[in-house]
Amino acid sequence: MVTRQAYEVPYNDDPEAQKAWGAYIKNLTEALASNRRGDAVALFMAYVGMPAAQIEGMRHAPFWGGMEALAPTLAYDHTAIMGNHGSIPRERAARVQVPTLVMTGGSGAPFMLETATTLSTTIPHARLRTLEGQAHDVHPEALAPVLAEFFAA
Amino acid sequence: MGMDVRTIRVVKETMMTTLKSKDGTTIAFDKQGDGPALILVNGAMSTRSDGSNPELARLLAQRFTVLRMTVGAGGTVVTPNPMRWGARSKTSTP
Repeated sequence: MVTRQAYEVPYNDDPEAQKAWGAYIKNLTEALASNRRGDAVALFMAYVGMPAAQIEGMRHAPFWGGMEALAPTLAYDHTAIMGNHGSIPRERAARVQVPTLVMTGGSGAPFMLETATTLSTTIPHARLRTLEGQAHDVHPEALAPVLAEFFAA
Repeated sequence: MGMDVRTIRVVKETMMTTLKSKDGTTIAFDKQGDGPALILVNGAMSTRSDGSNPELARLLAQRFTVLRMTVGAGGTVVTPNPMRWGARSKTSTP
């Protein structure tokens, strides 16, 4: 049987958040179109809240080349999946036919719970599960047993 | 430099394979465990080898055939995971 789970997909229906997301996507698209991969990585880092000075420092780190190699995948992860506004894709969610477990962390950003709740009530065969004490960077020990139970059912 | 480098490590506990997707992108993946297939798709700018992904795969491999993939990077790069949504001060904005 095909099933799927999603942990903290960061869709956000807040208009201010969508404005910031739209600006990020515009800049990201321009950077990737002109193959400025480093700038694309920097835009992403800035978007998730990393201070500019820290990003500049990272540009000289040994792993920066690896991040530049991954930069084109942002077009898929963010432009394609999250869309230009980052709003919750209700129509797409309503068409999901497989059993789905939607998860969120109990200690994360409040909008994640709102989004997960909306997704779990929009996807026809979905369940919502909150992992207490977890944030976006979820611990494997907290996640694995829940996944195993869901996929084995 | 003040950044979190705890996730920088190379894990080599499984065989890595690569394949080409329809648009020519290289996808590197590895496989561990037995049982029903389970594909782990990591978050943005993260690879199958960084952060807690290897540990999650190890735990799930006790019951599933776990497939982990890295898209577009040949599977050799290891990066820190910059995602810290939960640590944002403005909680209504990602």
